[in-house]
Amino acid sequence: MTPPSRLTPGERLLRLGGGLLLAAGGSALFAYSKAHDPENRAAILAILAILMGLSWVGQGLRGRRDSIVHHEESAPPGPPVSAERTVLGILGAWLLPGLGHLLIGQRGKAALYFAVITVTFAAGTALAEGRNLSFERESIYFLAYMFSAGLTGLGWLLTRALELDHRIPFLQLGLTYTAVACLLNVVAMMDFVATCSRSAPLPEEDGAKAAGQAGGRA
Amino acid sequence: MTAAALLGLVRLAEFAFLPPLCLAVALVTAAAHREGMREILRHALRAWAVTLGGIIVFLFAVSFFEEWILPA
Repeated sequence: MTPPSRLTPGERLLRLGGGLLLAAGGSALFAYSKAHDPENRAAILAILAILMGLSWVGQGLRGRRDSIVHHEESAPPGPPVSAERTVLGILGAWLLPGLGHLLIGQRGKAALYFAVITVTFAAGTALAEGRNLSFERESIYFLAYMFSAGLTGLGWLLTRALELDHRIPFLQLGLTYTAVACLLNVVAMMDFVATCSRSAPLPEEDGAKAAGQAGGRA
Repeated sequence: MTAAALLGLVRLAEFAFLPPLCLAVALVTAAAHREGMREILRHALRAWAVTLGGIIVFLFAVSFFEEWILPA
């Protein structure tokens, strides 16, 4: 049987074809945006599409499946985490990046997630001069913002009185920064859930499993 | 070729705000992928360099295409 990290020939072909198509589509979008939009607003999206396409092509050539959240199999399991603490951690990470990892004692990762996501969010808000957090003006971007409730809520409270009364040169860039920061919080939350699922079982779970096995044998 | 290189440099200046964003993405995805701070930083910096290299090569390729291939 093929191990889960190895791609079947069909999957390799799909990734190669899809990756080439995505890269070609991204290049076409870049060229179109450059020719028809003086501000070249779709360029970042086009570059992301090209990079994702090339990443798929790379996976197809290597024949290995890569995942955003994929720990090394040799990494030892973490300390036991209860289901309640997992749910609390997800809520905490939604409110403040890195809070979930802090709750399970991963201080280094908690500090890294908090610093990177908060600085990126703050940089986006500064580039957009605080005009990036209006639900009425930027309702599409709020689909991304809702993944980081604490930062978005605090930012909205601080900037809700600001109006779009002059041209802001880096507004689009600020929106991209803020949206990417909030989407990165999804990766941090996925890592938190993956870490909890890899943690050692609780002592009572061990006891219950042992009792179940003994019952089964009897 | 010089004109294409200059055009590429101008494009790079236009994308001056991309490297910090790429670094943030590389750091968070590396942290989700690896254990140990030294391993995370090593992995993130490598991913960042590869991404930036890809963007630079792409921008210069587009400049070269526009400057030399399209006019002909």
